[in-house]
Amino acid sequence: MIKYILKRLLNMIPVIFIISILIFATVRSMPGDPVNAYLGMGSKVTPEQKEVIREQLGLNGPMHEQYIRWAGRLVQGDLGESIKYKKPVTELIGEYIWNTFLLNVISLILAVLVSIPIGIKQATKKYSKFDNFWTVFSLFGISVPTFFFGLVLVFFLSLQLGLLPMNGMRDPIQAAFGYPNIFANLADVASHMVIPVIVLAFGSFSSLSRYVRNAMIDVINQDYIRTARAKGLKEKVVIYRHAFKNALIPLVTLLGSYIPSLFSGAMILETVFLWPGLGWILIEAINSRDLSVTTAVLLFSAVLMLLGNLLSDVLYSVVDPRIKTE
Amino acid sequence: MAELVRNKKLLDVRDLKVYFYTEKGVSKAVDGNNFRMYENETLAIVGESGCGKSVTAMSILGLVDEPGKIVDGSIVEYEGKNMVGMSDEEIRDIRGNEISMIFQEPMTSLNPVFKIGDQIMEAVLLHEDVTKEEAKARAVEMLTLVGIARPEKVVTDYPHQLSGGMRQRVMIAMALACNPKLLIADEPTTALDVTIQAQILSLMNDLKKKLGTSIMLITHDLGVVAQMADNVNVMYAGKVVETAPVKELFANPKHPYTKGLMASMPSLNTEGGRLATIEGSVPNSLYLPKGCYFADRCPNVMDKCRESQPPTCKIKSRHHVSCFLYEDVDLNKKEGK
Repeated sequence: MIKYILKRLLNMIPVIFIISILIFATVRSMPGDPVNAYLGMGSKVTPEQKEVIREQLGLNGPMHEQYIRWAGRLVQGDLGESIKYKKPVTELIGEYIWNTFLLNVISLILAVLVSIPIGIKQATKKYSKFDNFWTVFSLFGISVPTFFFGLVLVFFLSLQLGLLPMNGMRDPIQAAFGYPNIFANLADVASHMVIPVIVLAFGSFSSLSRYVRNAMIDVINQDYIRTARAKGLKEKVVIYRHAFKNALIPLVTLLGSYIPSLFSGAMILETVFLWPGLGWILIEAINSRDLSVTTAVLLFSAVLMLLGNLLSDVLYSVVDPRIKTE
Repeated sequence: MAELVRNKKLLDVRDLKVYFYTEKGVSKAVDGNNFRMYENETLAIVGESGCGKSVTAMSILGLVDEPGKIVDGSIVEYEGKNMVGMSDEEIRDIRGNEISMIFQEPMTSLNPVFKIGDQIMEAVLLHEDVTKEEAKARAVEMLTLVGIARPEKVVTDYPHQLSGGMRQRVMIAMALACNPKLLIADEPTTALDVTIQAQILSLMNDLKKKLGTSIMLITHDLGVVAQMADNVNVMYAGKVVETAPVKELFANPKHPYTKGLMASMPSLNTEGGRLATIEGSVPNSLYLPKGCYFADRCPNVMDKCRESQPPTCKIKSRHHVSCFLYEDVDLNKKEGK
């Protein structure tokens, strides 16, 4: 198993290399001059001074030279410096990634906990009222854009009823004056999280419950389920032990692909709710032509995606005895 | 007449009707089945695909899937309890314990994500008050009994590590683990190749003698019937059309359908030429005719065959046939029943 994982990790190197070229070239081809963005509107800096800044930012010379300089630093773990925030990109990512993780991990756990029992029940009562209701519900969840659903919730829960804060991660006044204790701090963050978590979980629930339902329907019609019933097992045991363990095989692969999104952030959602996570950083970086941050976050997401695939494959061999990784 | 002294009754199926309520209409898969099973007996149920053999077997354990339903009749087991209309809990007590079942497809009948040993132990732990160690010992013992080499190793294997024949042996071991009175085998060898078929069949015969388990064997293979059965039910379009001890049936088939089946069996003496067939096909169970279901294919069809259902005539003791041809020789009538 360890040998297999190492082999897969080695195989990733050329893939990352190619991805890095693509990302680098794409980001550098964005319209707009990062130096102008850096200086701000109406600055009176002379063209000569601009060239000096350009050189300081590593933006001089042809693209392939820029790439080699950038890749050389990347190998040493240096992702460059943010133009906007004036600090190293690694530090910036380290600061914001946990906000993204917090939001995503809670909504994913919520979505998994709800979608599994509902999906299973849908499968066992195929085409019943229960099944049809959740089918329509999840279709709705897949179709409605997150920003729209988010804004609807904000309108009712924050603006109309005043129950929850509109956006952000903390109450600015409380945060500025300091919290009386850690619980006040947690409660503040938690209240800011409610709406974004609902929106994210709603989306994941919708697709997950469909997957659970369909995987279970496939399994329930298999011969070994009839065998399990013929043994005299209770229907609950038949469904939750014999059927669900088989349905887990496709689900685990799917969940493996969810892992990278725990870190890479939901761009639109974080922007709508001004949630200080990686997705938000990325949008900000693109808008302000903060090239090193944009490149770094994109590359980071790509690497996470590759690791997620590897994780799926490894988990696959854990849940399915027919798959051997050797 | 030693032959007439029969063993204890094990199963008494009366007027069993299993209908499937589909969107197109009601499909009468089993339409008024009557038969009895006795201890230490192998009863073969023969018929072509779709004649209701499997549905009959499934309904005994209440395993008929939606939209199928037992609409009428009774299945009385040896203690006199009617299994039709039993609560889920009562029938679960019987499944795998007093009556077990093995299926046609050994390749897909074992759960791929559980170890062989665990799958056998599961039934034992469920129905008997034993510890895990005892259940595991039983699993090894059962695997030895069904002729699996190195059973201690196989209990930790997964189904995909075994061949089709091995898997069917495991299925048999699992089914017999709780020492049931009756084993229902639904085409247990159809999916296996011929040499393995013979092995599995002789294994079942051995186990029947050793453990005293009765076998209900569902098959379309008359060769298997001749080798295994004590008694035979011939089914056609959801009904038993003829029932007789195996020797009697082969020597003296009465129903035109049974005769047709016998004739279509190739033998070594058949010289070249085409195999005999029964013309036509089974009527659609959605639109069954008023009269005898076999009338359209029957070489001896009479006018009354299309008018009403044929009576069950007694040819001999234990040989019954549902056909108008034998009204005159019906012993039931002569005996004044």
